[in-house]
Amino acid sequence: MIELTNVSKVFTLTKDQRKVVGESELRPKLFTAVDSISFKCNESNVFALIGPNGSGKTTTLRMISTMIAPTSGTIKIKDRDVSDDGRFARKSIGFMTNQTALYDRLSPFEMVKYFADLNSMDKSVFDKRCKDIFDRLDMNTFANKRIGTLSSGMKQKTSIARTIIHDPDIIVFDEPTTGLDVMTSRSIIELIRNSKNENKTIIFSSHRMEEVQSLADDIGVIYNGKLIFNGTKSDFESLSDLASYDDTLINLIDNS
Amino acid sequence: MNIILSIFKKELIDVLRDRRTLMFMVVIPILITPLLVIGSIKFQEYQNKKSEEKILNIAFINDSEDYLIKKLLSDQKGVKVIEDVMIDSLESYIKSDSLQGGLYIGKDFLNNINTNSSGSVKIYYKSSDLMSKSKKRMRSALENYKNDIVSKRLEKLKFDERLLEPLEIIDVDMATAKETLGKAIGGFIPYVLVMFIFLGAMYPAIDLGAGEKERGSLETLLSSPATKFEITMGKLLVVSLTGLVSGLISVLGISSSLFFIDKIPVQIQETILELINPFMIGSIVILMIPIAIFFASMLLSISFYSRSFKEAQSLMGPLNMVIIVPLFLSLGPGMEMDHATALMPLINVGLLTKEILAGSVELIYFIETLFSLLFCAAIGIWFSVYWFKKENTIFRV
Repeated sequence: MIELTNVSKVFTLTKDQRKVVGESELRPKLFTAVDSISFKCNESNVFALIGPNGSGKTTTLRMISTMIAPTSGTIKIKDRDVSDDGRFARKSIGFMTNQTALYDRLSPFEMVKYFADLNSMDKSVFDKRCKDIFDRLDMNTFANKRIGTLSSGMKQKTSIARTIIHDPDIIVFDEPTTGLDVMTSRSIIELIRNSKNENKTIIFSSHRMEEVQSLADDIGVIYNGKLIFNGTKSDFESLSDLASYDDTLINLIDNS
Repeated sequence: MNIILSIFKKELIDVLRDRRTLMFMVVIPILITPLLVIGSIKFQEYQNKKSEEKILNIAFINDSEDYLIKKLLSDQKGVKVIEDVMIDSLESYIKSDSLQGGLYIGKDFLNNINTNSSGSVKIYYKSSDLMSKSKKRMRSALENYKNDIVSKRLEKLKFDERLLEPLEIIDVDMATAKETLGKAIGGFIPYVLVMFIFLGAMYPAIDLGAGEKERGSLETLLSSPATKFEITMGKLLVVSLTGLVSGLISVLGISSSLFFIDKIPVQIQETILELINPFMIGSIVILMIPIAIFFASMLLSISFYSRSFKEAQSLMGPLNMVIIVPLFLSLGPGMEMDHATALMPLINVGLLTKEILAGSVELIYFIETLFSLLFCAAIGIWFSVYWFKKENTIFRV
């Protein structure tokens, strides 16, 4: 469903960034954020992309979502190259981060309708799906209130509804539970489980190994832009006889 | 196109629900502008009245035997003649504002006058004291004195006074009241208009660019099927519209405020009503559209580049100067509408608005101005789309 082949992303550091890393401000400096990575996320599978901060997880997910273009390599969504048809790729994807990324002055209904319109959803299809999602997430009591006045849990539900309103086949989660409380995190985890049950392809990045352990079918470990591990959950577990996923990850990074 | 409309619709709702945007777009132009106009005119009237009524202490130092000047000076309204002031202390008195002026007549003055030559008189005043009328009043007294002497000298020579006035110049002003008023307020209107288009567009531009970045919603918007071109265009339309509305409201605010100034004669009020006609409004709106698009594209580009709301605000500040300078130039003496100035953005707006209000606009200059503004707007749109497509701009850290 999602296939990356030798994908790299090279950024030119800005003057400020060169200053931060102690490089000469005059010379352009290139930074390889993602270095020739290849992996595949299969249909109805959950793929967890893990690694330390700054390893290239967000850049990879942004490339999959076509927000940024790879410097080299190909990314295919449903066997179609995203660089040829970005709109098709984005229509197939629902993207979510740990930030609710909502508009405070809109209501949840308006927010969800906006994303349905951007996905060119037919009105009757939207009406049905919107009702279904709002019922399922118990959003009807606050559907027409301004988002700015809602609790964080309500906002998170709105964010979920926005992500899935167009019934995407693929859902991309960029560290979806980072910084969230237990209750809100749980709603995201449920969304991932439900989406898997609906045969959707899911890719998510996370620092929480217990989430990876409970949700992932496949795991990719990225470090310094390189994919140092790509395999099934049982492959990952068999890498070492260490009890925790955290230890296995650290061990993997240390040995890379 | 549907996606651009969806973005436009959503952004418009969002912006119209924002109190700060409404403040800049509607409240300030509709309330503050008329208050400023009425307030400044009333203040000016008050200052003029105060300055007219102020009694000026003017030193009169006379080393000659002529007392007519003193009488003529005393006859001036609002002048109190102070004698017994030493010439050496005059400067310090005027500097400390104990005296507002001084008039010194030298020893040989009367002798020179009586022998048909020129008597010298010195008048002392502070030009920095803008509200003081001391120079004007001293000169007026001396002018009366001069006329009296000239008249006596001519009489002695048995010459008719008309000998000195071979010409009788009669002013016949062919300009209509509309033209005169149009040219007079025509300099002020574009200034306000352009500033309010800029101010009205500024806040929504910050909110829809840097604001989205700060909220993290830009990332989710970019992950939607909307292309970067469609996103930019949807936002650009809203920012342009808010600028346009703000500009229009400010002009209407100023126009309506003129009717609340009681000193304006009915004839001028009628002329103002004549100025506000469908042609004038239509022409100005046509000019405002490309200006608003150009400003919106520039402001949005800066906003997309900025990491935060605060950064966008500080980066947009200097843009004010870029707008004020050409408008200021268009008000300068000798600046006339021609084929060259018609192609200079903003200068042409200042000049053309004057012509539109005076009803003397030439079609060719209107077309040239419009062409130059549309060209700027097109460049602006191209640049903002190009700028938004740059990954370094959107994901600048």
